[in-house]
Formats: sequence, C-alpha cells, structure tokens
Amino acid sequence: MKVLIIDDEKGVLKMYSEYLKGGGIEALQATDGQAGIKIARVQKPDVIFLDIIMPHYNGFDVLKDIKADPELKQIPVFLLTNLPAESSGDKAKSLGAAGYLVKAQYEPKMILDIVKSAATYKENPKA
Amino acid sequence: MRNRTEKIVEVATWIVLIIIIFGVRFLPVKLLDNDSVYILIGGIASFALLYYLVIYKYFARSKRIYLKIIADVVLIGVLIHLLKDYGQYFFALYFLPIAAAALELEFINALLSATIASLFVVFEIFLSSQDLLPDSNQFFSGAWQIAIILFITIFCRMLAIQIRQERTAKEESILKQKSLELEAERQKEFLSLTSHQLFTPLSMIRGFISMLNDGTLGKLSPKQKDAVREIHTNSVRMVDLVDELLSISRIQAGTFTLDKKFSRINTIVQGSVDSLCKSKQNKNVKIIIEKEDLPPINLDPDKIRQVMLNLLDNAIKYTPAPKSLVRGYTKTNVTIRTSATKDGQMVEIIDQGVGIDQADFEKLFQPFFRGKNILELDNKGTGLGLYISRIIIEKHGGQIWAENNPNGQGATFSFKIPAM
Repeated sequence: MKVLIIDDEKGVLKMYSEYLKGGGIEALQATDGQAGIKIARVQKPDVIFLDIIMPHYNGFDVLKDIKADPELKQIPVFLLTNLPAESSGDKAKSLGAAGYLVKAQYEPKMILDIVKSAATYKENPKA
Repeated sequence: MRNRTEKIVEVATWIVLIIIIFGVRFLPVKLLDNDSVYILIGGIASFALLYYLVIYKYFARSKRIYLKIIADVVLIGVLIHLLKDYGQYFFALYFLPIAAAALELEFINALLSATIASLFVVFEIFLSSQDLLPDSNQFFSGAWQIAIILFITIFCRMLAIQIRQERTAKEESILKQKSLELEAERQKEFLSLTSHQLFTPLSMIRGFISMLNDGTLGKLSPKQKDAVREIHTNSVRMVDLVDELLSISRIQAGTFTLDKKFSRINTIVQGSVDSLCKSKQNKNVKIIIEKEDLPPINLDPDKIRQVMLNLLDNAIKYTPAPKSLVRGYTKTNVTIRTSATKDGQMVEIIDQGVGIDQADFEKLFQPFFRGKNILELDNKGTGLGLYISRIIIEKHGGQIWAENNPNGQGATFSFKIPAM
C-alpha cells in the first residue's frame, strides 16, 4: 500500500513517513504541490495526505488538479493541516476531500489507522 | 459642487411646480375642451418623463429624490382637484411617482407616495360630499385651496425630512453592520492564522513524543519512558488548551458559528467514545452506552462531538480509581444514555466521580471555573470545556445542566437539543 504525503514542512514528512513505514506502508513524500501531483501521476498512491498552506501552489490548487485528473480523482485525499476546520473545512469538502484533519489533533498512530480504514474500504467498498 | 447643483435643481423644481399649480388654477376651465385635456395630459406626462428619466436618474443616488416624488404626487393631486370634471383623466398620472418610488426606492417611499395620492382623492371626495368645494371659475375663490395645497406640501416636506433621517439612520446602520462583518471576517482570519501558527510546532512536538512514547523511535529506559509519557500527556493538554482558548476567542469575536446538518446523535456518541478510547488512557474506566433508536436531527455534528468529548473527558478525569462500585452501576464507571424528549433528543453522561459541591452548581458552566471537588483530584483542566459546551448547546437552542446522582455517588451531565 502506498501513501503520498504532500507538505512543505520536512519535519512533518519525516514524522508521518517514519510511522507509516513502521506500519508496513510505503510512504512517498513531496515538499510542494506540483511535485506532489507529478509523484501521484507516476506512483498512483492509494491515499494522499495534503497540507493546505504551501508556497507557490497551495493544497486547494493541488486538490482541484487531482480531482480534475481522470486517473487520480478516485484516490481519497485527506487534508492534513493546522488550519482550523471552521475556516477551510467547507471548502475542502466542496472540492472533494475525503476528510479534514488538524495535525495537532492527529498523532501519527491515528493517521496510520485512517490509512488502514481507507485500505479496508478500497478492498470492500460495501463494508 | 454636486450638493450646490442639487440644491439649485431642487429649488428650480419647486418653482416649476408652484408655477404649474398657479397656472392651472387660474386657467379658465371652460377653455378646456377634450383636445386641450389630452394636450395637457401629454404635456404633464412629458414633464414627468423628463423629470424621472433625466433629473431623477441623474440624482438617483441623492437622498432628496423622494422629496421630488412627493412633490409630484402633490402636483398631480392638485391638478386633479383643480380640473374638476377633467380630473378623472389624470388619475393614471399617480402611477408615475408611485411606480418610480417602488422601482427605484424602498417600499416605504412607494407606500408614502400612494398614501398621499389617496389622501388627495379622499379629501376631494370629502369636500365634494360636504358641498364645500368653491366654484373654480371664480377668480379668487380658490385662495383657501392654495393654502391647503401649501399646507399639504409643507406637511409632505416635513414627512420627507423625517423619512430622510430614518433612511440616513438605516444607511448608517447598514454601514455599521458591514463594518462589523468585516471586523468579524478579519478576526476569523486572524484566529485561523493564530491557530495555524500555534498548532504547527505543537503538532510536531505531540507527534514525535507520541512516537517516542509508543516505542516507534526505539526502546527507552523506564525513567526515560516516564519522562516521555509526562511530556506526551502535557503536549496533548497543551493542544486541548490552545484549541479551547481559540474557541473562546471565536465566541468573543462572534465568529463561533454552527454548520448544521441532519445527523444521528447515536453515531456522534459512538464516534466520541471510540476517539476518546483511542487517544487517551482512561484509567480503566469502562464506558457503557445505552442508546434509544433515534432519528437524525439538525445539528452541527463536529460541535456536538466537541461537547461529548468535553463531558466524557470530565467524567473520566474526575472519576477516581474505583474502590467500591454502587449497585445499579455495577462493572461500569461512566454510562452514556441517549433518549427522545418531547421536542428533541437528550444525552446523559452518568459518572461515579467525586460529584459536584452544592455551591458550585451555579458557576459550573462559567469560563475558567474549577470546582472545589475537582481541585482536590489534582486534575489539570483548562476550566473552559463546560463553558464552551454550554455555548454550543445554547447555540443549538438546547439546554445543558448537571446534577448529583440520587445514590450519592457521582454526577450526571445532561444536554438536550430540539429536533427542529
């Protein structure tokens, strides 16, 4: 199973990747939005975690591009940010995000749980 | 410059209106055959069209525009009155200022124009019925009519000034409202960014510490493990504290809003319990859910989840390690019960904790209040959770309250939300 994390904070990438690897998940990393889309097109990850505030190309732009791409639009994209849900949650939903997670409230273990749930759903969507 | 021009146009308009009033008044009625009436109607309609299309459009933003409309109504009323037998041809002219007011101004101005027009008609009918109308052919007998016209004109002007003041007050109120909305938007943006800036380092601290704590980053000595567990607990507390302080700031800034959708309260209860069991060590407190089958109701699921987490967290935190369990709650320490009420749904969280001191009930849901019994337990809460819960429930139109259990052990925190 492959997970792509797009975040300009290297510490965040390291933290989540480390934990996911420990859980047997292949964690791909991108430090900006455009690089993230390129990796997604080549690697076709099962789940994408996406930060919102990033230089040049923000998380919403990346989400729009992913949802507009016929080959990527099926991939569940979770926004993983420190912006409160009240300010950006509605926009995220309207653009097709699978979920909105505030980093400070989601420890790496919880992110792994979400990845596992997403995998279970993918294998058996009616479950 | 614009004000001066407006003033000149207004004075000119009034002069024209008075000249027309006097002109028509002193025109011998017998000279008016049908053709002349149509010519007169055409002339007045052209004047009205010119007035509305040119002057009115030019001064569309002027606050004095309704004065001109009222003046028109007065003029038309006077014409109808003075032309006696021919007056009926002019009734349609009332529609010009009334329609203009309705289309361009507010409802109240249109209503006022229509009212003044009606007043003239009623006044005319009244005078006719009382046989009080003087012979309009007599050259000077209409002097009192002119006095009435001038009186009504002055009355209309006073009324218009009153409306202008109200309109100005309304405009000021709209401006104030817009300014408040802008301020609220700025506050919201500021709080979002503050939240981001505070949470960014905290999320890294909490994340890495949780990895150290669960052994992902290697084995720790017992002493290191103790220290890391303490740091982890406090990092979680810090996140909760920042979250609650930001909620308080949103409440104070007036940007704390609900995003309601039809949701099942039982799903929220179950989700909150799952989330709490995963994220916190709960001192072996067992949570039992007794749920009634309830239909979805209109609520903000995220905010109700926040209330549930606050109440559950309190129930667990303030429940000491069980010494002797009371009958009726055997094997359980915290019970969550959901049920239907007459006009909505209710959730009760029943704990077996220290209970609430009688003197604390009134202040329980106030900000930063910490109960005496709670302080004895050495639990470090923010004192904001219950206050935020109260705000959330009240925003839903519901109620939240607490009471000590009748068996003397622990307390029950309950909230109910109306179905509509």
